[in-house]
Amino acid sequence: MIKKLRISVFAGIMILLGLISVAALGGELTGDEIMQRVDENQFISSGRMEAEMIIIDRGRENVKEMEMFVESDGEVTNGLVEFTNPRDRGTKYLLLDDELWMYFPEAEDLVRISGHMLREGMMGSDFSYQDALESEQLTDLYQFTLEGQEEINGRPVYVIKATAREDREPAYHSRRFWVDQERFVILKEEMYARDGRLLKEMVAEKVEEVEEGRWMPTEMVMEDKLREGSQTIYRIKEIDLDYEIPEGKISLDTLQ
Amino acid sequence: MYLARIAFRNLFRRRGRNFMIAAILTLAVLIFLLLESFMIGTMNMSFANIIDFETPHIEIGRKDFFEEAAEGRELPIDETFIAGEDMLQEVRESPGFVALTGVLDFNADFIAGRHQFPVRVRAVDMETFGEVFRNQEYMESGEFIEPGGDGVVIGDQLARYFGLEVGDYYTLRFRDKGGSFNTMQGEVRGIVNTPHPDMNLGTVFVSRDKAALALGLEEEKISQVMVRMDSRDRAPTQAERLQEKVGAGDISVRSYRDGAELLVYLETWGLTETYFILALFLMVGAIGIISVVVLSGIERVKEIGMMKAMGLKESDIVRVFALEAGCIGALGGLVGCLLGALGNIWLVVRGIKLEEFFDLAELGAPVADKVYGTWNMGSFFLIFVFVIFLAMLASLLPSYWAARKDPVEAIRER
Repeated sequence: MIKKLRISVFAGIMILLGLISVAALGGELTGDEIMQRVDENQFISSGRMEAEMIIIDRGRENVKEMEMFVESDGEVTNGLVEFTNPRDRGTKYLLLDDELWMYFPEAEDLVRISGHMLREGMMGSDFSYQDALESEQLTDLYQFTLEGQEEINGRPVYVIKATAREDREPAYHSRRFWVDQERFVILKEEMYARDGRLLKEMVAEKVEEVEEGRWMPTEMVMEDKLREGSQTIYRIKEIDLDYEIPEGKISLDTLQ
Repeated sequence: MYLARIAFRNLFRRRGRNFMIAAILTLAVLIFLLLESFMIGTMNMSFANIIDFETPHIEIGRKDFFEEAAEGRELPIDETFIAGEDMLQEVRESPGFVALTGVLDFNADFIAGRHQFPVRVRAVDMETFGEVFRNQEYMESGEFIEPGGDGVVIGDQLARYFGLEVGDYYTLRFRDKGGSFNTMQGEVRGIVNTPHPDMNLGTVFVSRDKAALALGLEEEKISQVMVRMDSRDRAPTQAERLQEKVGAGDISVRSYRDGAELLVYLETWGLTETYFILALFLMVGAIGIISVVVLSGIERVKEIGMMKAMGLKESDIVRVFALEAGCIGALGGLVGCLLGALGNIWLVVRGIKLEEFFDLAELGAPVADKVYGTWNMGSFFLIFVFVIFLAMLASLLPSYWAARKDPVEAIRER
């Protein structure tokens, strides 16, 4: 009887320990797994957005309004941005995989953005053209290390350090992400140079449920940390993730 | 001699008309000489500035590096190389060789305070840089870079744009060998003000060993070997010779003219424009001479008849008119050359400030300050002879028309 009881207690402890360890393993996602979830959450196969970009420089605000179309098959991402505010109306950017084109309506001129222009801010913002070009999924470019857990605005976040994969050449050699533990949305991101200097910081000010169970940042603030007093607010006003982009809409032919 | 005397005397019979034509030719000669002096002077200064501050007589680099640079693309860091001792020895043995240095050029954003500006960073080896380039001689404040130091030397225009002084902080942001952003930061060590405007705004200097480290390159890697020769004339032929000797594979050897295509184009364009203006004036002068001879022929019909009756041949009469026109040409050419020489003294000694006329720097000419003229005695001689020749040539057809008049008809006329 005692022997039977001992076996039962031992079995119970073992089952309990097993359950605890399974629970613990299930909760502790690795950095790669977390960022995989982020990539999945951010992935847009075909979508349309209306957004505005508020560029703040020395206290002055410059507002740019735009309509965006994005399509991706997971490997190749194409996009079209059409500015709609009066001053820039008709200016368009076209992203075709790793090529970026700009169309100026006044000059009726099409320009491929390359060279030093890639490092410059898009329409004078803190988002560089290079940022726009880096459309690959984060998990393809970096390897991740879970550094810890913190809280941002009362929400628990994973702190993840991303370091460039040896065979890849991302613009930022390393990054640090603060990822919402429940929504898998990046709430804060820091981008570093190879020498470890902080180049840019992006903070998600507003996160919204864009479709059932899917959350996305709809207001972000980007700061170029090398330039004083420079800040850009990017605000998504409308988003349609099931939008069917008309054929040929994202092409060089329709850009002009 | 007799015919020459008649021709010379005839010059003063309608002196108002003749001197007006001579004045047009004077103007043509004067404008040509001054424009040519200005053009050649500008080009001489431009090429001298390129050689002293940007690309010396000869540069050696990878073909793709030059091609991508010419296309205005980002200077490719992966097109750098280590110059072998064989190559350097061959360069040193070139006739007219003076000195060589290796530089590492790459693109970056210069950032200070709120602003950023795209620049070409020239990472230099201080031991040899001064033997090839003259940038150090034009320091406005501070000092040139030191080996291994974090300091940067910038142009005075860039300093003004950013409001920077020696000792202020800067950041350079660029893509390294792996394609990732990297930065260099430190203090502005010196401000340079050269006669080459591009070097005062779009180029900054850093220490080569420091830059190579930040770019993730081996310390000996360079983008170009820069070679100074003892004269400009020698550069193209020596560049060709070196191309055969060391230009195997993807290495390209270029003279300063190959790297300054825009300037060579400007030179051709400028001279063509000068000759076009000269041609326009000379055309007006030639038409004037034709009308002078035609009018003289009409006015002197009786005289021509008399001359023919006295036994002068048609060719003698043509010679009289041609000599007359030649004298008008000689007068115009001589006065034009004299005035041209006086004007050129002013151009050569005083020079002219470019911004008073147009922005040559914007056109691509690397000249920031005054432009000085140059003496080209061959042009004086050639234009003088050419104007006389043209005047005589223009007079031939109407002279024949006048000379072919029947002497009886001619004498009866009036």
